[in-house]
Amino acid sequence: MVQETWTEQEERRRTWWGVLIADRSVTLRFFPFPDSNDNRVVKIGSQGHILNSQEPHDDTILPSNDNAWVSRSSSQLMQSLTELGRRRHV
Amino acid sequence: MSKVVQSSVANPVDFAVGPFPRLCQAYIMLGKVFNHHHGGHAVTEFEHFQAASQLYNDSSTLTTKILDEAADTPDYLAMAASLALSFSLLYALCEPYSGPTNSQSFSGEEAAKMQAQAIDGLNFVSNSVVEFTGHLNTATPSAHDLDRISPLVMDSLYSAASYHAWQVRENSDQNSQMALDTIRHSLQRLGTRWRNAAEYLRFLEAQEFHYAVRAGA
Repeated sequence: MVQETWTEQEERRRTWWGVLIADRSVTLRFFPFPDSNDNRVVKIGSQGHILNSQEPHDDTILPSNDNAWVSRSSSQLMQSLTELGRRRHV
Repeated sequence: MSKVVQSSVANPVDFAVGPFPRLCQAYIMLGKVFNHHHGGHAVTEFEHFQAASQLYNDSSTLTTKILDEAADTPDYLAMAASLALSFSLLYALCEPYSGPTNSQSFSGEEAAKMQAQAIDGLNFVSNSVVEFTGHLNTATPSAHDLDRISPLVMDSLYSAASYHAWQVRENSDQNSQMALDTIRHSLQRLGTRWRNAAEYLRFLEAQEFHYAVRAGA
């Protein structure tokens, strides 16, 4: 089994957090307030009261600092391009 | 290559993280607010308001932290989404406690204390959103720059506009009228790039029409 690099793990992590945030932001305006007369006309095709059951736990890792991500992923991209160039010349 | 420090959900807000982790922290706090309003975990009224007050303090701390970081960064737009979601978070927490029509059918000293806290919170966040729109306008001089603004910011703009529209209607507040015009202009501008900005603007106009009809009735 091929071990994932830090960049691959971080890419997965950032993608998953992005999905969670998109999901919650869509339900944001739909949430009706308890006993409210305010009907909140804003309904954007959401699931209403259904909250994501997978709230992150205390030990869930947050995405890394953005600068580290950009720096490392760029570095890995350069390495991959260099390796690709080297193989094409073999 | 240097080792990257990974932070977890349990890390305190003081722990330095970048814009995307801050956005995630606002997301987590929003989940706690939704659970507070709809989860029904508190046993007594006192516990309920204690939890609300704690959430208010935690949400305010996070929002203030992101505001400080946005003020210190040369790239304001990088912080815009996390800042906007923290504003939405405060609206989600405070609105149900802010007035008699939105109150959660509680009474007593704790309810009154929370209502005062919620009104302060709404006032603070609604004024902060006006400043926020000013920063967005400054950071996006050309139409092309609007690509860098996340559509996640629209909810906070709409919430602030609704609040100021309410203040205009109830108190004929001229400052709120100016704030409302500023946010409306910002939504119009953002609507040239993002469909949801145009939709929120449409909701706002419908709400103002509703107010006008009720005032005329």
